[in-house]
Amino acid sequence: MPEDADFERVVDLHYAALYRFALSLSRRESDASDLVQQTFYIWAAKGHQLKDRSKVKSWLFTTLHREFLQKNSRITRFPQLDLEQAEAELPTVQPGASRAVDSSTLLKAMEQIDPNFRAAVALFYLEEYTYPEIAEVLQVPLGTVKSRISRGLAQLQRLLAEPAMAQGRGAK
Amino acid sequence: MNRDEAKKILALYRSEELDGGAEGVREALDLVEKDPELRGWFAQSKGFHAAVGGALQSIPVPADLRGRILAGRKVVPLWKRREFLAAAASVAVLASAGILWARRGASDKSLARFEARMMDYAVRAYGMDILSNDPKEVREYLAGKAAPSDFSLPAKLAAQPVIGGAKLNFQNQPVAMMCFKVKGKTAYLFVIEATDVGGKKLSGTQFGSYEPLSNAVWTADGKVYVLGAEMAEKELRELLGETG
Repeated sequence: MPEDADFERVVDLHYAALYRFALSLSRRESDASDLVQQTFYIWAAKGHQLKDRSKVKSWLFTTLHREFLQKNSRITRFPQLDLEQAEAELPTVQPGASRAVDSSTLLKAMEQIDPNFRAAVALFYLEEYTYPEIAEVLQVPLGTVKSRISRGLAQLQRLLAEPAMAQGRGAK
Repeated sequence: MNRDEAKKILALYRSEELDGGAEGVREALDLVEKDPELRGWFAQSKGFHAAVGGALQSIPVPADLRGRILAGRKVVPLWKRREFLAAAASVAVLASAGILWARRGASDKSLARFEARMMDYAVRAYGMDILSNDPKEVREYLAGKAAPSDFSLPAKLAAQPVIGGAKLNFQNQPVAMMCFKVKGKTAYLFVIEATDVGGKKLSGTQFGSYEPLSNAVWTADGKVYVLGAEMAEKELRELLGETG
């Protein structure tokens, strides 16, 4: 049946990347799995409304991010600073920061960066989105995306350069 | 443009494909060529991005998640779906899944089955066990896991940046996976001893597609190679030196 095959194809193409995005946001495997399942549930119900099929990936990521925010409404709205206003926090590479890092350590570090920056940083790396694409997924202006990535990266680099911090004292 | 201004621009530079067209990048890259300290900083910055990107992309995905997603679809209310027989469709999905698993359980050791299974991994962006830009380190890891490690590669492919690898299994036989970064995308190479997939020798390289990837299969030195990458077949042919 064409529609079942189409749904399965969309799942196969995107579920792994969506899970990694969800885990970078939520840190709990069970929460991440729930977010991905919920996203595809919504896709099954509403995906037929999307006329431009080239937008499926961004539609899924946008939906997942929105579901995450709704479940975590305690994350307050972040003032939309442009890049120029965030200059003081632009990342500078720490010595040794380019060494290989395992995903567990990275996720612990991601958990400690400001939650408002986390999604932008995850999309910056996970899906190799361009900045306009990240802005579209996060539904924020382009300048805000660059600011969030810059500030998130600065925090991430500081954390990864300090292994004790990266161990995650507040890990769930 | 001075060094600090170049750093601000290049701190968020990932690759030519993604960020090459951003404002100021060309001028900043010109400065990198002339400034050894900036060049060293830029190399570290790119290394950091590669390490973090690789780590995020290698996060393992729960093995049962796909099945749960597909099974969860059947609880969508009937009035939201266009199919007339939603229950029959759910049964069809489950029956198809049963057939698929039965096929996967069969002892089909053919080269074609190996190709399909490896491309399945590539389409799902299988996670790497080792993240490294050093091909020697990746080969040593594979050798340590009793996976093929002394395989030879076409020159252009061998020249691409390595990002990591993993040891997989196919019908209980070891498979080497080595990943490359090619034009901003990950290319997945799988290698198995030819005797583990029927010993068939191909007369040349075979090209095909597993949406959204193109793939190539060839045999050499007693091994079978499967390469999957998100690029057009023409680009894949160029990568393998098969422009004829």
